[in-house]
Amino acid sequence: MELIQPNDEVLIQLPSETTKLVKIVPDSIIGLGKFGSFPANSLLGRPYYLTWSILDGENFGLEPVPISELNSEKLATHTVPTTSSDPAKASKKSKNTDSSTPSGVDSPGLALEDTAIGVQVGDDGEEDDEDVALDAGMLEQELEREQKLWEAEMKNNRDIRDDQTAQSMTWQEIEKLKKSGGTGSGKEIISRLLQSHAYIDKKTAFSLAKYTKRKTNKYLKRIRVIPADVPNFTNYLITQKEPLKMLEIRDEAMGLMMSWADVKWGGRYLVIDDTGGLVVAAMAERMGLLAGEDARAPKKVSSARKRKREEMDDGKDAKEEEEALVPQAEATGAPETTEAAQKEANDNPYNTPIKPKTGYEQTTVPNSNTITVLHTQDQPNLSLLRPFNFDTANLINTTTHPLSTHLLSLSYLQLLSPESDVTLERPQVIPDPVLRTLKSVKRSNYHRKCRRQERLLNIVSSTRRGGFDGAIIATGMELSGVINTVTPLLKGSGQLVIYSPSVEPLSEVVDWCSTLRRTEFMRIKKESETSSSSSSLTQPQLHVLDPDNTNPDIDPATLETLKSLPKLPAHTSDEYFPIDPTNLLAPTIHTSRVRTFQALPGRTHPLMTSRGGSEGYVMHATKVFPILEGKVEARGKFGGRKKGGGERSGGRDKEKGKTSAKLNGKKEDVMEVDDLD
Amino acid sequence: MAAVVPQTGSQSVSSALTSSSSTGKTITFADSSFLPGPNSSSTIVPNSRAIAHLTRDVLQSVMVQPTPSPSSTSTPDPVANLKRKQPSTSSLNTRFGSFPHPSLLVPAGSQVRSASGTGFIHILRPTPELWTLSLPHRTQVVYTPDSSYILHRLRVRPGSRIIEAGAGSGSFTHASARAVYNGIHENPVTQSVPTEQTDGVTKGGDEGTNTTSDSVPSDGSTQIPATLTDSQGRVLSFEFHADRASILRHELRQHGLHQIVTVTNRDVCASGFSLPEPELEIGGNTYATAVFLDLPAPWLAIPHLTRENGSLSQTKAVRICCFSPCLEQALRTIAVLREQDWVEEDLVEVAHKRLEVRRMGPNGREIGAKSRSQGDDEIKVASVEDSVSKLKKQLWHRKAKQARQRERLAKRRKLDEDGNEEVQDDDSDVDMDANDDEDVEEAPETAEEEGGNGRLHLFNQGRVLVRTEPELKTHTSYLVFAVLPLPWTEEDEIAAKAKYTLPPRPAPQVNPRTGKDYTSGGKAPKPTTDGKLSKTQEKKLRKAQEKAAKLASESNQTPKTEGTDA
Repeated sequence: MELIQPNDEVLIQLPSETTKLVKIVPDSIIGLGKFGSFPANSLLGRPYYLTWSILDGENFGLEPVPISELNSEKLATHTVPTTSSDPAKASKKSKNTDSSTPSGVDSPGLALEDTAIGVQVGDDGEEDDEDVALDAGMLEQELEREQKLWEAEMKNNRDIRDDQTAQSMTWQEIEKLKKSGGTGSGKEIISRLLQSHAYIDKKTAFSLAKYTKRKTNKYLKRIRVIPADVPNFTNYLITQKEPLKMLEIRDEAMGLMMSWADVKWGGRYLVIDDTGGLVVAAMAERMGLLAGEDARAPKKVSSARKRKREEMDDGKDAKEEEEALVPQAEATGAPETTEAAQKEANDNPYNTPIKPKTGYEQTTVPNSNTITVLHTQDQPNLSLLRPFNFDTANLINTTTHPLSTHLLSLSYLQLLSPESDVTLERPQVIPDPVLRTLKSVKRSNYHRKCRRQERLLNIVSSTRRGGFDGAIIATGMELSGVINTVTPLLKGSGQLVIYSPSVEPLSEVVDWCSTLRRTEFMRIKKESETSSSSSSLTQPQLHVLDPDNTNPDIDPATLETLKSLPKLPAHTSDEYFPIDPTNLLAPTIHTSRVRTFQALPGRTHPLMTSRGGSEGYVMHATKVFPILEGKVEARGKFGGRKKGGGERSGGRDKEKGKTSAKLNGKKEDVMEVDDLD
Repeated sequence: MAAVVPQTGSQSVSSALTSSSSTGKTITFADSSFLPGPNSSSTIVPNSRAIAHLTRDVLQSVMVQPTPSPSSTSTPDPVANLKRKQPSTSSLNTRFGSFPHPSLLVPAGSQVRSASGTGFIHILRPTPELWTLSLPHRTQVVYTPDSSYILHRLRVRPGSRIIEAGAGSGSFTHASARAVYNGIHENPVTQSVPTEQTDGVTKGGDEGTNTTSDSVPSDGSTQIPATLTDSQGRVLSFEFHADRASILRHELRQHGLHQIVTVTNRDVCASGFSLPEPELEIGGNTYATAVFLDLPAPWLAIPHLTRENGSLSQTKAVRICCFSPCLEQALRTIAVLREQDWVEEDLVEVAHKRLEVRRMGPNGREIGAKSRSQGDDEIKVASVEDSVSKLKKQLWHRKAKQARQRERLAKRRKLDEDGNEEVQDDDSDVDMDANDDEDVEEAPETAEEEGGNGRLHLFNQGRVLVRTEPELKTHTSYLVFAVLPLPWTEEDEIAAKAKYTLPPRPAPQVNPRTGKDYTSGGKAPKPTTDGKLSKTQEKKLRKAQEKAAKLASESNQTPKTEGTDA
């Protein structure tokens, strides 16, 4: 059952139409300001999306409001103005809405549907229109009926005087009723308010409904509890918290990003997230990393688990390690083992040649269903993952969370120049016998450091190996550098998605890939290749192991691993070519905006106000392989070529390398222009 | 025909995942080019779908065949006696030329040259978005801006079950199949494919990994109904048009998604949502947590969606989205949803725009758009100063020319006194010539600008402009969203109260001066770290207690929070 569990973070919708993020701690009291308070236990074990009224006084707690009662308040106006003359009845919202409601769940509708189906068969595409045309007859009758009712009951506010004497009920009376407590008091106040309103008979049904709703919100302290999942949490952040911090990402933009980046279970994704973790959370939700028991709030398992892990670090693992060490030494007899041993020998007084432990729990990196976060500081800012029970500041409590294994994070430094990073230093090796004598705090500290180093090394090597299915960038940073870092790591046909609150940074990126620019890039590239002179456009290699920058404290084994990492092709930005324009296919900018309607019969219209601020823009492009490494067969044809023409024809795919194609410049010209515009 | 590529390294595959072994099932990757898995290597493999990217708007899907085999053996038509254009099985024909299938077996993302060598296309791995843009239209298609928002709001997640009624062309089907996908869950007891029995052996190694299965009994081997233990994500698709249903089924099989999507040919408005194929391993009930209705009259189908008849999930809140182009349909849907006790009903419309980026040169022309700028010389000038000086120059030229003309005329008049009228005609001709001359004079300048040294910088001139695409979809459909909460009876409430007993209400902590109640807030005086209270705090607390006692004796019941306004 999907019920509210202890320590869950939930969102509570208040009568003021605002939302509050609340942690349901057992045996605590949840305060909602002027709307009162209630014990947390009265929500535990209950389903979401129910409406509760807050009780005060004797039976302090919550009482469920039946859904039929809630909906009948709205459905009451479907039957339109007949109730308007009787305020008491209107306030009570007679529960038995008769069958004449214009909902159409009656037999004529069914009969009509059959004919509609008959028409649709064999008809391609236009079924909706057809059906509406058929339905129109029935709808017309209905509209006529409503129109008549409307006219019969037509009222206006001509006779309503806007003064304070309209309401004869005094605030003292209201206070007295409030004091009496109980469920009925709120309803009582509302019905009394309606009775004692001087112009209640003159109000139109709609204005009466509005008035009643206002009073209901004020006096019936009703709340609704909704789960803090990503869409709800996003709406909460954007309306009530600091929207600028999460780059004002709306639901619709988030949906577009997730779709175009092709985020799915089992994929590997790279993300640059300046929203404080909201994008990561949305991705994790799409990848099934926020679901299941492990993603729940930690109860009391963590300490037991922690102890178990410590035991494993100390005893079991070490034994395995020793056993594993013997055959390894025999098999390889590698010189670096002895080197490392010698180094250790110098470092530790006990002179025991034990290799640094490998194979800590949870240091290996899964090769699918992962999110790799690239961040600028030492630590990623993922504070918004806290409502999803993943607290990066307090990782030991969340080791069971699926994200703890599948969320990988590394800084730009660790990716681009791992040899100079401090975290990759292995702590001074403490031999096992000494380790056993240490205090448990020191011991676990040592293991923690080793574990961290090992995990980071694994993350760095898996990230540098590339082959990501997609990348999402949501940052305020200069995009050229970010794109140059990310694009080489994508696999062919992988998706690059960039979100920006404003369009300008994205339009710049699209312009960097314009047809003219790309053509020129390829021409220069080709020329520099043929003249074999080194130009700024030849692809330099980002070296791993820069002798000047290598951190001297990194042990040789780690260095060896780093040396074996693949080199990243990189593009050096210059004024004219900030990014490599041949890598990205068809960059496109989208913007999407949802318009919400008030859906009440006879009063349906778009909401009068909505949030302004940034529109939110999503750009996506596909990683394709530059085909510059071809033979330079088409050389010499550039001179007579029209500008914007097919210089690209110089390249070719490897399979068909030796096609001696005669290049039809004109046809290619057309294609080139079409291709990117 | 989907299982051409053998499942390799299933052990490493399954151990890499957050696989569920508690139910006794093994989870394997689906063999689909749309999804990650054994087939998701970076190369296009035979018998898989690929997308040919011709231009931004023209994408062509192609089923890559291994060899140029004689046709009719490879793809039997899913629907007999239906005239459909059959794609060629040996090569892909586009407006940029013909591409033999073997030439398409390249790493995804590569550019491929046509057989004649004159054209190029990019070969891409299919995604639901690319498929939406390239699929054969049978009905109106749900496009990505709508489908992405709908799936986001319906909380369709790996392991969800979604009902889709009105499958149509299958665009939304593909998007939701990706969203629900959490591997193919094979029950080792009822395995049908012999090759995967090795997976059952390896499952012991997975014991230590995380489990993601939710609230599923741990012993999956016993006679628990499959419906309850099944935690695989599924799309339950309904389509009342028989031909469309079978074509979609065929496509899904080609795409390797048939284990995730179940297509049922049924009119849901008339006969509801139960599944006719009990051999499906999940029984006849759908137990969905999300519903998407793309029907002309969704209000007829909604009454069939209940927990009692097994169409909706028994343990989770259910979300629905109805997709209707007309407001009347949407309103009627909302009315029925309200009657059927759905809550949080919401009527929205998605407005989506695609933006174009261009560069405008200093003369007001788009850079690089050759064809468009030809012919209109009016906006050649870049600024007011430019315009004034140009006009001045023109005027000066004209004046000078007219003066020269007059001189010449006077000379000619002197020479022969006869042809007055002809000379006047001549005058106007010369005037026009003067203009032409000027154009000729200026032309080399611009040519030099664009052709010579300036050519490198042309793409960097002017400024970047953004505008909407030329054809805008201003309305697709109204979307009606709603949530059906779990049923909650009085007995449930009593049981929950018994399980989570309410603590006694704490004594109210009231600020003596303001009379404000701190019982629920966090500002109440707190003991210091060593458990003792500071003097001021003690004083405050004592006063508060006195006040509370006083209040309690007055009204013989606990006072409650006061509203701030009356």
